[in-house]
Amino acid sequence: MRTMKRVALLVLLAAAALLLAFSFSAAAQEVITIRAWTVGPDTPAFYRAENLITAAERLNHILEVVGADIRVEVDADFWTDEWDSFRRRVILASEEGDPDVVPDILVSSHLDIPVWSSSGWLAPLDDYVQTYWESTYQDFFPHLWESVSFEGKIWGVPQDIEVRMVFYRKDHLRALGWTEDEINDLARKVEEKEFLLADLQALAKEMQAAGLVDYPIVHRPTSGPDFFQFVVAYGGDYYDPETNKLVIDKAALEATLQFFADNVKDGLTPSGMTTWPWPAVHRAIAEEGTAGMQITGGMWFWAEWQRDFGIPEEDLWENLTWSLIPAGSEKGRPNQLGHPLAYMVTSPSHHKDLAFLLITLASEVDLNTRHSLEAAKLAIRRSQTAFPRFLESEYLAEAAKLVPHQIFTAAHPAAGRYATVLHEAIGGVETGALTPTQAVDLVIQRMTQAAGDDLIIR
Amino acid sequence: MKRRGYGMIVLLLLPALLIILAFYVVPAVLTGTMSLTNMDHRLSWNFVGLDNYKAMLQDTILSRVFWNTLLYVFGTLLCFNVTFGLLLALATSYIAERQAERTSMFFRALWLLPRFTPPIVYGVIWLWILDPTRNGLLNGILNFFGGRPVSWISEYPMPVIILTNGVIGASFGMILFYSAITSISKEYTWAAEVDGAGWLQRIRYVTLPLIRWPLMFVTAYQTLSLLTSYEYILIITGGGPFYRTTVWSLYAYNEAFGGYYASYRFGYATALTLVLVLISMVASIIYWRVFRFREMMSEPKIEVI
Repeated sequence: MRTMKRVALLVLLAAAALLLAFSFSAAAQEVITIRAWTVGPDTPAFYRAENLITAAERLNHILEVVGADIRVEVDADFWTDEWDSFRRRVILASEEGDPDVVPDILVSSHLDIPVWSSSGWLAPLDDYVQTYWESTYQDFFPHLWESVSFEGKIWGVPQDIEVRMVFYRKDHLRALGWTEDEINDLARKVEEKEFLLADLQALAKEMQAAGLVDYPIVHRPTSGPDFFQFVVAYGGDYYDPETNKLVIDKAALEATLQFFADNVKDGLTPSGMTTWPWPAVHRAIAEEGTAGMQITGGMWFWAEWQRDFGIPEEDLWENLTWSLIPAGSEKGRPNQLGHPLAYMVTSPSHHKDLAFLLITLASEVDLNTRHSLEAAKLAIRRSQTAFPRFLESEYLAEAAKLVPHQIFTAAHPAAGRYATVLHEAIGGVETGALTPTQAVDLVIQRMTQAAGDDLIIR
Repeated sequence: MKRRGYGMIVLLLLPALLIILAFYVVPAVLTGTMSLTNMDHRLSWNFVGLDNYKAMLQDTILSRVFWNTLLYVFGTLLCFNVTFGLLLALATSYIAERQAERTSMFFRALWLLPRFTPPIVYGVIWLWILDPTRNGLLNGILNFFGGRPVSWISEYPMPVIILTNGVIGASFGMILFYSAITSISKEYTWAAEVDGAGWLQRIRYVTLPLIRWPLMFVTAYQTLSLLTSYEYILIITGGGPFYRTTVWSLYAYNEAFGGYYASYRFGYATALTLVLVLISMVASIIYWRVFRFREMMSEPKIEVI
């Protein structure tokens, strides 16, 4: 009986000791939560959030192997609503400045860097980038660092980059008698200025006369940096890097607005293009072919058309081809605009080191490549271009050929506003509410208000 | 005794006063103060005097926005919120009179459905109906009969926002008018019938004069409500194409938050909203005087049993 009691006591003591040990180890293991707000809005770009979660899993594995008593948890969300609502959320939270509200990591447009960094909401990353330079960041394409720098400091880590292009319906070109060779030669002709915006309009008229389309030319309905491409195509500038001022090039801007006005006047573009819902634009060009050309295309549409509209990739190859935005005049040049997204670390974050480490791990070649493949985005690292899975993608390889003609939006706090104002002016001339000259005046008035002395009017 | 009476009055009014103070007076004072600053996304209070009000005088878009607002408010009122609401009330009360109360109730419930639908869902349904490609409901029908698709929103922007707001707004008038019509004493109707009045004459000489107050109340109330409403316009047209559907309240919203890259001109936007408050106050005073609401609020001259 006494032995039984002793055994019971021993068992109880052992259980208590185990429980105590367990609770001690549980208490000793610190879990740090890193919060991240990421944005699409294109749904295939979900790896912007997922890669951070995978990075944390990899980091935790290492910590476990070395017996460290710390774990990292990532609470990442992925915003698929509009850009403006994402920005509003960041701005209001950042103004609040509460580290419990503001996330540690943001993924957003490089356009946001001048505004957010000058408001004191972001942490400068130069020292962090230097820490991992040899192991990771020396591998990044050098020009991308310029897009995430402002006033001499690095505020972001490039997350992805893409090219923009004009998409053409090949089936309509064939119907107009174009041979496969002629179709395949179109991109070269655009690049070498043998096919200008006026030729694009002539082609649109042919498509319309042949009854192939409802509207031969469509463009993005919402505002975005895309419309600067046309200013450059007509030989203009929108930014002067020497003085860090925005530029309104009146002649090129008016030519751009005249181009959009003429398209509507000739019935090539609907007058209310700026009120079309996005899905209607996508369906018209990619699914139904009721449009002939999408002149503000982006390479990521390829992923959206497959994922969100269920169009098989072979159909896309069969029906669509693309080129740079053609030059509009002899002075202008064919081009396309890149709009890098970047990881940023917020200034109120209590865990900046850890947040940056996660960003570094999420930028690993395999992780960023799976993002490239899923979201149809280009490589940010040299090694990616030699990575087998990346090499397998014919689309990425073909689209990457447009890279040498890339332009970027201005690194200026009012650059985003400039994009909105330009879009507004295009809406004005398309609806006939403004003549191109009046629209130029509107842009000058609005941008003088937004940029003040930081504006050069030529 | 008298002092205690006042104390009681203050005590009873206190909760309401506190709520008004916290949720109306304080925000109104803040808004007024903010309109004297050039506050942007950094939310700093840099006072600039009356600059925002001066800027309004130079804003070339604002006159267009003003006329849009008038057209939208009175267009919606005249076509839907009052007229169509009245027609629905008359029709459903006529059906109810003919011993078909359930059918009448069904139709009234049907017209209330848009009001119960979450705004974003309602907006998306309209976006599908008005889609500019063949996938839209209207263009699908046109296509079936061999027609070319129409860009409804861009070609008929103002009718679109009047229609989409009116379909929701009509139910408010319908409910009020219906209950007013059914509360009219049957003796009046019978007397008119005995005098040989037809249905239309009964409406003209009996019903309409007797529902004068609800008609005027709905007109005044819905004017003020439409002056500040913009959510369906924001969802369906975004105020475009090129400001053709931008009403005053939406313009203020867009100056603060709208667009791909908003200007975050909080100072200017609040100045715009203050002007809207002034416009609403002027409208209220005009309605008060023209519709003689004092009479409606006064005690009845005869004792109602």
